[in-house]
Amino acid sequence: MEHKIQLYTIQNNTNQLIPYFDKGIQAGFPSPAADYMELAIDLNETLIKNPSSTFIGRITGDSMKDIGIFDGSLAIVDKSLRVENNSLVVAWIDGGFTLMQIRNERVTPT
Amino acid sequence: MIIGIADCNNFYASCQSVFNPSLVGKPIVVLSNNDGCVVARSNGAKALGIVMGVPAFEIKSLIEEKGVHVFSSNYTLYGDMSSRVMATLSRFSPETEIYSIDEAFLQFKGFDLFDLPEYARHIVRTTTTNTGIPISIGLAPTKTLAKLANKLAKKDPGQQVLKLSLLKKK
Repeated sequence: MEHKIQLYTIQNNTNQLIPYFDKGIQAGFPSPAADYMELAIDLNETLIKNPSSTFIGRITGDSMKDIGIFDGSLAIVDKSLRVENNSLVVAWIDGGFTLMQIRNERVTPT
Repeated sequence: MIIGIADCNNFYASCQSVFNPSLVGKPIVVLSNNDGCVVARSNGAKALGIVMGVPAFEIKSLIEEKGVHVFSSNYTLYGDMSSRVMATLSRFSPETEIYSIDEAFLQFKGFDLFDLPEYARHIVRTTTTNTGIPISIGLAPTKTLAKLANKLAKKDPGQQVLKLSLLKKK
């Protein structure tokens, strides 16, 4: 299988606040206000909405490179989310977990 | 007031199949530390007559003959899955009491207007979807009766919720 996922459990009781450029990062003359920046972002809180149903997996293989998911990428997988059209899902296929995109193709009877 | 007990079905065996869904429906046993005795059995293993606590060497030929999947216990995994189940359950009741690694009592005080069996089925579905661990819930007026209701719920395949009520005295 060319694209497998190795799953990890997560440590989400840590807090790491990282300075956050709320106004976007500007190319050119830097904002004089940047020195006074106080906003901070916690990636655990921002990226993991439902810790009790979230797993992290490392993607191997580059079958998804066309949509920007490369070999070695980390996937944050939330089992509580509902699958919709175009959702990226981790599916169990042929004895392995695989990253796939769901596409709802309606076949109209002729 | 009604008390519920949520209990994970074949907890250690279920934890093993979350990360390997091909094991779902297969006979699985989990052994105690140092692979001594059977401490958990999937329904498939129970159907083969493997009893709780049997030393692994005594069922060696049965394991080979029937292709039973055998696992050493992995308490890091069970602890992690347990906290996920407990965190999910705590969203549904104002007071949850964790009773063991795979059981929690749920208080349903003030739920008089709820259809509790239906609410419990919703809890079962959500927990099973979100964590991958199947659970069942017993509902009754006391903790002891709730345990009994849970036992009966598990006996009936396809039925994950059971409510026991007291008959009115004449």
